[in-house]
Amino acid sequence: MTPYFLFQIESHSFLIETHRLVEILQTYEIYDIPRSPKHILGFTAFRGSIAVLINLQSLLKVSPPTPKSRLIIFEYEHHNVGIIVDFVDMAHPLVSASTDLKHPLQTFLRQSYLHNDQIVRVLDLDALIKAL
Amino acid sequence: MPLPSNINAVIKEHTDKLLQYLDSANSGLLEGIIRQTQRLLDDPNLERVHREKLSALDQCYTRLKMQPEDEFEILGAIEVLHKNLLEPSTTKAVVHNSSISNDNLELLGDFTDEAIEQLQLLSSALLILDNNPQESNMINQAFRALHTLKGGAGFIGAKNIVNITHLSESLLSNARNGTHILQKKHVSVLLKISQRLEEAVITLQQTRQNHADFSDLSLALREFETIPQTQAASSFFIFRPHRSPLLRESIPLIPLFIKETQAGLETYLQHLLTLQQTPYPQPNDQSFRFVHNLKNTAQSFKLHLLFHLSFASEQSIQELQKPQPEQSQEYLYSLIAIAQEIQRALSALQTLIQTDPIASSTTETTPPINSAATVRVPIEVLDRLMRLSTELLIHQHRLSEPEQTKSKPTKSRHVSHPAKDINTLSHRIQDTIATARLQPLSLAFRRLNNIIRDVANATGKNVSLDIEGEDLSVDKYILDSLQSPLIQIVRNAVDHGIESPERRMRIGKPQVGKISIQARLHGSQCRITILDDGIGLNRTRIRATAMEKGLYTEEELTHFTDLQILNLIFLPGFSTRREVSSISGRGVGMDIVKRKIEQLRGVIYIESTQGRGTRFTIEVPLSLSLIPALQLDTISGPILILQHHVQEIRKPKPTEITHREGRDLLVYHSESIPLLRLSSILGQERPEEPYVIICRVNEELFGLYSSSPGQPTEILLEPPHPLLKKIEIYQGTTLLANGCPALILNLPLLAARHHLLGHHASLPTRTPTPLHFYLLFSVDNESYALPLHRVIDLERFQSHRFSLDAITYQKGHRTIPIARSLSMASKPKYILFLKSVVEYALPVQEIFEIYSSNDLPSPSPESELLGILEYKKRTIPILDPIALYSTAP
Repeated sequence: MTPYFLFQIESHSFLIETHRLVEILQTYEIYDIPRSPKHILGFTAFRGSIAVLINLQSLLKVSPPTPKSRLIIFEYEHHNVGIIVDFVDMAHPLVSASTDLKHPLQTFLRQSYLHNDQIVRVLDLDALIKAL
Repeated sequence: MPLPSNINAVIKEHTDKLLQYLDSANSGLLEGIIRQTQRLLDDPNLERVHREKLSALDQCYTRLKMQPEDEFEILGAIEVLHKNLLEPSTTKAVVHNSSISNDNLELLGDFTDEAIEQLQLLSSALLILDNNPQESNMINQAFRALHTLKGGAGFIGAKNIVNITHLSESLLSNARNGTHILQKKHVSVLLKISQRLEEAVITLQQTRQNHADFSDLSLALREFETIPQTQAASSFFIFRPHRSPLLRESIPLIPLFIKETQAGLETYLQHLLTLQQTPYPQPNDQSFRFVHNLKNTAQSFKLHLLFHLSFASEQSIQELQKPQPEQSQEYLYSLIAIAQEIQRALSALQTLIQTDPIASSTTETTPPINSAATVRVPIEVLDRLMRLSTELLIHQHRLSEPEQTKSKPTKSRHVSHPAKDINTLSHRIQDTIATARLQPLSLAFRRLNNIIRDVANATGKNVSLDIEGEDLSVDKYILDSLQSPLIQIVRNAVDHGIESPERRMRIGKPQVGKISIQARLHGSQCRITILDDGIGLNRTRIRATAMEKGLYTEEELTHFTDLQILNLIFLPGFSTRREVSSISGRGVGMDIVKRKIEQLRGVIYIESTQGRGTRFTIEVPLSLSLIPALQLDTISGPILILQHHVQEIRKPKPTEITHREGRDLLVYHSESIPLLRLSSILGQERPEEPYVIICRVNEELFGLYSSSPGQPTEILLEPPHPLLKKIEIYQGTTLLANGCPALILNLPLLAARHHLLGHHASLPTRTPTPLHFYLLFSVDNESYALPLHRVIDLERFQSHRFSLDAITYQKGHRTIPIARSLSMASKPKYILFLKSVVEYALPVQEIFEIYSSNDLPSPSPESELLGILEYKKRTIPILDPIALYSTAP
């Protein structure tokens, strides 16, 4: 089975393939991008390049990230993309599950799994970025 | 009897015999083919795949004998089967050659590098031989190149390359020893071989796969060795697109050609059927145009059967269009029969094209950028990098070493700080790497000769090509990316721009059209102009096409400037061409050209005078490494604009600013230029913006209000992030020296979006701005000039900053190499710092003027000079900073 890791934003939990993860940062500085849409949080310097941050909080309609949040960096088409999250953990063990629950990011969610008695779904990062 | 190993030869023999049979109707020839096919089928060892295909062929041959009235249809089927039968042997060869063995992989890099060099020699020799096939030095050069190539290919086991180079070498060997006279037709085939070899080597380099099939070219070479009757038997029905690079590039267009022809054929056939009711059937003009266009397109695609069928139809229609023609019904019946044959031929062609690997692959004609390309690096550059990295390690060690353990030098005049040294070394490493990546533009220009030659031949035009500045070097990535836009532009220039020799004669132009390509340095940019002396762009037709395609209304177009009208050709799918040819006319091309140039962070613009020609100007950075930029402070952080757009920074007086039509204008050098606000562009609150950054895009000026005068800096420009592509106002991103990320403003887009380009057409006529500035100085009482924009700094010369060996100069904490081409007997008073590919220094005696001129300098025959300047009745040579740099250590 594809290894996943889990991240949470408030009450929302998502899975992402482990191989997409580049780094988890505890300290970071975010810079504004004028004229960017509200789902772009800004950008940050990362490993001699930049990472553009997706504002998943605004898409989920939850509170903005706090200074305690962590920044996870993914690779997308040789570029870095970041998401600020409240919690990150290894997703193990996972049991296949099904759910009919509607979600604000329904279009970008794939398989469902049961993790610690909670339903979690795989976030299709590529589809999400393409749609933004 | 085993299946002959060279199935190509069998099929060729069959093809030749069929052609002779068509000419002579000698049934014996057909019997011979049938007997040979049946003998092959009797072989019990024949593989099933061959057996099935040969059986199908056998049936066709027999049918041709029994039903000669179905000749066209059967020949079409035979053509497809011939190709199919060649497939297994080709496939076998591919399998055999496709994978370079692991043992040979290490040799592959050496082979491809050397092969590219040898192919350059081969190509340059063949281009001379094309004009003078008896030039013995060039025959020798081509022979040697092929021989070396053959040897290298043998080492890596690329048998297909060995075979084709061997055959080509034999042809030249015979020409060298006088047993054979080299002719233009031989050179023509050799040029095609050279091009195909180059493609094969590039594929090898990129994919390590050897899929090249030279069987068609081998056949062409063997034809030169065989009896004349083989040559006389012209290819009547065989579709041979692989024989011409031009046609190979056109293969992706054939499915569209088939589709469009089938649609036209249906209408045409319907029309003919309705004419059966009339006593004197007269096909309409539309019918004639259909068969006439089909004839031309079939000819350009080398579709001989379709060409002959449409030609015959054209003749019949002309006969029918005469008043009360005799045998009109017979002509009409023959027209209908031929139309049905055209339908069958199209179906056969469709089958053939579906089995063609080129046609069934992508329709994108431009090759993908080769990110895995290699660059040959001189060993001294690697040595220099090695020395610099060793030095860097030493300084790093000094930083990490505890203070008390450091050994103290016994004598030291100056103790440097390791951090400063590391900074210096980092710059030098970056400069050295940037230099190593540079490649001359000649590598991109070289192929254009062949392209122009092919397109000119296909369109019956005479075109000459002048190239200037091919020694200018640009980054390898830029060079590779420029290739396809340049090909597209010159192809269009020959096909659309240059008139036919007859027309040129009629309008008083020289019979031979001219395309000039010039490459020059323009600041930190490389400027390439492609100028043709053809018909120019037709504004009326561009306007009409824009309206036909529903892009703009007539009312909207009346507000367009001339430049905006011309720029419409860069819209996707925009073509003013009424007829689509094999070369161009489908409107796919110029938008891709523009996109590719913009991907390189470059610009492209057009100037065109109807009846006199068109000039495309491309500006791209020389290198994608550090480029100069101006950092502007804004409320949300720093924003950068590329320095080559910046003309001047001003703090204008209120009286210099006027308002018209809701737009601020700045009076600048007696003209009014439009102003934009940086804060508005960024959607920010308007701070006090006392400064104006005067920017130049596509030779048009406009100003940008800014709260700060800006800070010059150097940046490593990164392409736009996928998530930022929709925010078009940014050209890319970068990291500043302090580690902060920053955005780069897309000035060309802003200028276009605010309709600033071409604005002067509706504003008062601009008095010419002095465009050329020069710094005049002397060395040993001789006067020289340098383009001012290349001088980035100057200071009084301090001899203690000179290194002992006088090859470097210490500027602050940086060590700058010195150009030594101007040897000085007297002591210098000043030192200039110049930017070429890297920064270097030039000691001079006196600096006596900054001189501006509207005129271009007079050209100089000396390659190290940019030209000659007329100054106070004196002539002053303008030094070429690139040539000067090449003498810096």
